[in-house]
Amino acid sequence: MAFLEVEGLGRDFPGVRALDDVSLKLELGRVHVLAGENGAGKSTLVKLITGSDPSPTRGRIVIDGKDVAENPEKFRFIAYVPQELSLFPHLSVAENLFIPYDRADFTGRLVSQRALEREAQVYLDRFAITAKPSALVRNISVPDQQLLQIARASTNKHMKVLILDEPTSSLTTTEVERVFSVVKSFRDTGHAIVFISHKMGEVLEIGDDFTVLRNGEKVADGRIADITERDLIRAMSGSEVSFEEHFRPTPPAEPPSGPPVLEVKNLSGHRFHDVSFELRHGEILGFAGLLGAGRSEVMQTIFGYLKAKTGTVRLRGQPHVLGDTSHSVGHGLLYLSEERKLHGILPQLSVRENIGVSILKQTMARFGISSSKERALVKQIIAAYDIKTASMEKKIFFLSGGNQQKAIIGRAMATSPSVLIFDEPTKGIDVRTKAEIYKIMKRLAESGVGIILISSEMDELRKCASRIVTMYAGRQTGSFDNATTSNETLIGAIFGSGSHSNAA
Amino acid sequence: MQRKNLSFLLANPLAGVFVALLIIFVLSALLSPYFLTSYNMSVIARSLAFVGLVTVGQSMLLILGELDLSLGVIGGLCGVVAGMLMMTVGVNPWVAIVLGLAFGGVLGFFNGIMVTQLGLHSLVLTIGTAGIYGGINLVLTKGVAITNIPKQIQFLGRGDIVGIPVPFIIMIVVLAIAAFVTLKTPFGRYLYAIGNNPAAAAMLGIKVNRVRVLTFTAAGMLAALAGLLMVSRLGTAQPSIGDTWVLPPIAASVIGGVATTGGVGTPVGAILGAAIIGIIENIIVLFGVSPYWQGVVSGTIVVLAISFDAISRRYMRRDA
Amino acid sequence: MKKLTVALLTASAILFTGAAFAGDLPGLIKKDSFRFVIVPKVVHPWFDLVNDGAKHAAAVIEAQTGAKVTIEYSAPQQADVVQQNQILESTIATRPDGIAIDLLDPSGNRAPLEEAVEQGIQVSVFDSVPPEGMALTAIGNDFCEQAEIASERLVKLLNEEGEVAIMMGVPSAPNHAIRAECHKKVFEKYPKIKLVATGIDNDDIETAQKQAAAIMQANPNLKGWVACDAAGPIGVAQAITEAGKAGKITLVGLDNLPEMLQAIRDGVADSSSSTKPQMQGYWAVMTMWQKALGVETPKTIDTGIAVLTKDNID
Repeated sequence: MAFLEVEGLGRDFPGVRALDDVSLKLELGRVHVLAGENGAGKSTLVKLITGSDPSPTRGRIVIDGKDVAENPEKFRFIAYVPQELSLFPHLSVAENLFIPYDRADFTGRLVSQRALEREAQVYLDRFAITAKPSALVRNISVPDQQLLQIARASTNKHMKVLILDEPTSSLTTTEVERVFSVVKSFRDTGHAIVFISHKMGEVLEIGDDFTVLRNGEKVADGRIADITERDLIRAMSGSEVSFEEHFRPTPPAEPPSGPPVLEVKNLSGHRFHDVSFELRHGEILGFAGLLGAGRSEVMQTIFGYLKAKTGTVRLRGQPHVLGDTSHSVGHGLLYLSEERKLHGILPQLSVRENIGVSILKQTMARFGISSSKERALVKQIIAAYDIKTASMEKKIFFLSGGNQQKAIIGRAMATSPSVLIFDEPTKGIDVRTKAEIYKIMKRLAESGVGIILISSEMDELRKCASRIVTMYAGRQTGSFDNATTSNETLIGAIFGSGSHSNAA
Repeated sequence: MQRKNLSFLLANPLAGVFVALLIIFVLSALLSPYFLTSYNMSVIARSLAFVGLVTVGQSMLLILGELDLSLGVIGGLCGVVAGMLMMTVGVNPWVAIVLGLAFGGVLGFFNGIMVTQLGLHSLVLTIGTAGIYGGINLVLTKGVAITNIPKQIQFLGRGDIVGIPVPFIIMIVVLAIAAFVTLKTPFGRYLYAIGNNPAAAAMLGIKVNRVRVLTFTAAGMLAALAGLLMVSRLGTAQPSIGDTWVLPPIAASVIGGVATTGGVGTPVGAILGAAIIGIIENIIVLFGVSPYWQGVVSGTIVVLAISFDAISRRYMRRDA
Repeated sequence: MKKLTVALLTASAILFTGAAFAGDLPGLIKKDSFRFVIVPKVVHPWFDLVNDGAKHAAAVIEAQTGAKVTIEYSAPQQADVVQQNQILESTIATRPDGIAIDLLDPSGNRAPLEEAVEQGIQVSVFDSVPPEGMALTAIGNDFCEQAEIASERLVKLLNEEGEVAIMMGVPSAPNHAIRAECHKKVFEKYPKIKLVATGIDNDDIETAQKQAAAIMQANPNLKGWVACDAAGPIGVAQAITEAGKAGKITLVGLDNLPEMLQAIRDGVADSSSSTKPQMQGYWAVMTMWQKALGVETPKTIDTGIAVLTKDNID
């Protein structure tokens, strides 16, 4: 007997059929994987079964044997952990856990700080969160924040169903293990878990059942044990994405003469020390490491966003001025940040304006920016990078993550850079779009743009990079030729076991 | 076809505030026989001119995600300084005006430098500098106006060309330049980019601090221009000039669709907002509303105007 | 036929002589309604008293002549020339018969005043001085005299000895500045009177109270207070009460706001040297009325100063 049952569920928005005829059964004591590309209808479905969107167009939801249309209080069994961190950064860990207080038995008029923190410690222990209950959330680590979000959902005493939306998107392998053990313990105590993730390996490891959505419809479901990764990807994308293939750029026929594209010597800065490497013509240079290993800091320092302490950088043989982003951009060195929301998009502006701000040199006419030129160029970029948007006047904020990322890449490419640094370019992006971004990187590298790729997914680095530099705790621990290095060697370097080098 | 044209017009973000302005205008014309007289129109246009100049500067700062509460005081101080240069030092009045404008730029520049170099919040900083600039004003004048401003420049504030007050013409020219800069130049695009997301703007290689300082400087100069025009209008350099230019430009900007969080809106919208406020101030006197009720009445009209804008926008979104 | 002609001729002759008579002497044409606007410096209780006087005058004219007289009251929210000019201009647009205004700054108000005169609107000025060269009737009192009466009284009460302080109003308001200056001159005449502090209250009771409290803290031997605006002495009286120094510190106040009168009744303030706002409002309307009828009015009307004490206020 399923605890939660969805029958023929549909949801229309003006002009869009977001969800149609979806049925789903969640059983207690099992982990149900919900898979699908960005925009497949996963969040629409989740909003309906959490009750945050209370008006399905068709179909019904039955929780604990009762139709929620008549018994909306049944939604209290559902706990939801969104993908984006939605904590209160200036409140303490304990306060974040129990807010709003009436939800978690702190029903009195006054909230005792001490009682709150004592109660919080119980949850922190259960989730292996190292932060103190009194610490402010903005000061604790990202993995702790992610776990805290799950812990917060579970303070709901009525919880029977836990929905996790991409709970591991900013976590490294060890931290993923912490999430998994939490998920397993919930499963073993008789909860139903809905697990949403783009990481196929994780899905296959933790899942018991699965449902795949595509274009708002259910296209496949069954038991995880019965399928392979390839089946799952095919169901999600509706086409064969050959995922075995790699995207490493083909080296140029003859090695180019002249200096390397980028040469970094003994660079030190905020949270990293003494980093040296060179980026050669036509290659993708991968950077591997744990979260906080200092990879982003190195790149942001080269780019000029952070201040350098010592060291030199040469761009195509010329000394590069550090500490000035506009100098970097002017000389064709671009950095695409991991934090799309924080560092990438201009949320309130349209796709046209977002791209337009980087191509002002091309669009300037005698009487200011020519809107016809701008529209034509932006149209080209939208086509070239396959950015899916209803119109170029749509606010970029409303685009899916993958399309935002493609817009940002398109915008960067419009300035014809010579070095492009990608920092976690596929975070939170579905499999097919990932493959598209890999192809773009490969194409760029082969056309002579120097590419640096920071990624926490070893798989991604192995697929794309020509060489891989590893970092651990702010120090460079090795430099490896991708094709000839074993996973073990790389993992060792990432975890800081001695200094390594392999044919680099 | 007709409908399509209409909905295209309504899709413009300024449509709501423009229609609100139109409604207030038509209602005023219907309800007061004095409203549409050419004298009254020129009264409204002239008073809109002064606060409008400050509004143009303030709206650009708001788009940038900043705010300058000292703009009104800058206007007053620059008027006083230019007045002293003319009357006490004996500088040629036109030169004094240019120096007054430059001084406004310097004061705005100082605000910008403090905000960018020390990373201060502009709201807090400019509360402080407003105190400093206002204090300098009192020190210089001891609170006494500088009188007998030369007749030759009074034309700037009092004169009119084909019946249109000169300050209003100056404000419209400034607005046209500001509209061109914000919509058609790289600098304008940078304003919006920074207002949306300063970190992303820096990542795009925009010289964020330079844009900020320049905008503060420009806003300071516009405030000084308003102050100088007011001096030539009054024929005296009043220390209290600018006292009423602090909140109305911010309110006007917000009514006109500029977000206080930055990145959204246009100076043209802000001026439409200022026009709404200006007409409200005018009709309150025309109708003889008791001074004790003026706040209630003008506040109500403002709330109605912005509600109208918000509702029409929501309606448009649903339609789109 | 002949009779009719005679009648017509007689009638026209009567009419003609009447008209000729009216043309010779102003004020004889009957006018049925008048609209006058009072424009004060700012929203402030003192001006409400002016308004009361203006309404009184309107009622008197109505009662005596049967003409309808409307008084409108339009005040700036802030004491700012720019705002006052805006109100003045908007008021001119409504074409009233007369405007009575308390000028914030005579030269700064000049341009709109000239516009009013040009458009044939009668202007009377009260509580202030008209711009140079403009022939407007001014109703008011001698501010210096008002201050001198207050400070001389304080000096007498203190037996010409001790520390005193002045609560100054808005530094940029000319009448406040004149009063402060005249207070000072009086104190300088007496060698044993020592002026130890001058506060600035910006015509605001709360500010006056804070300033006065601070000044009394800093000068424990303070014996007496005078003020330069209507709000100041009320704040000072509150500060004296709060410090428990009623009876130990002598306050000679200014003007006749209800709180001022209460302070005198309570014995916190000795007395007040008061302008007569009601009388200013009354005569402002009377002069506008006369001018609207075409009658010339005096250049100035001095409404005089009253010394209000416990004995004469109730």
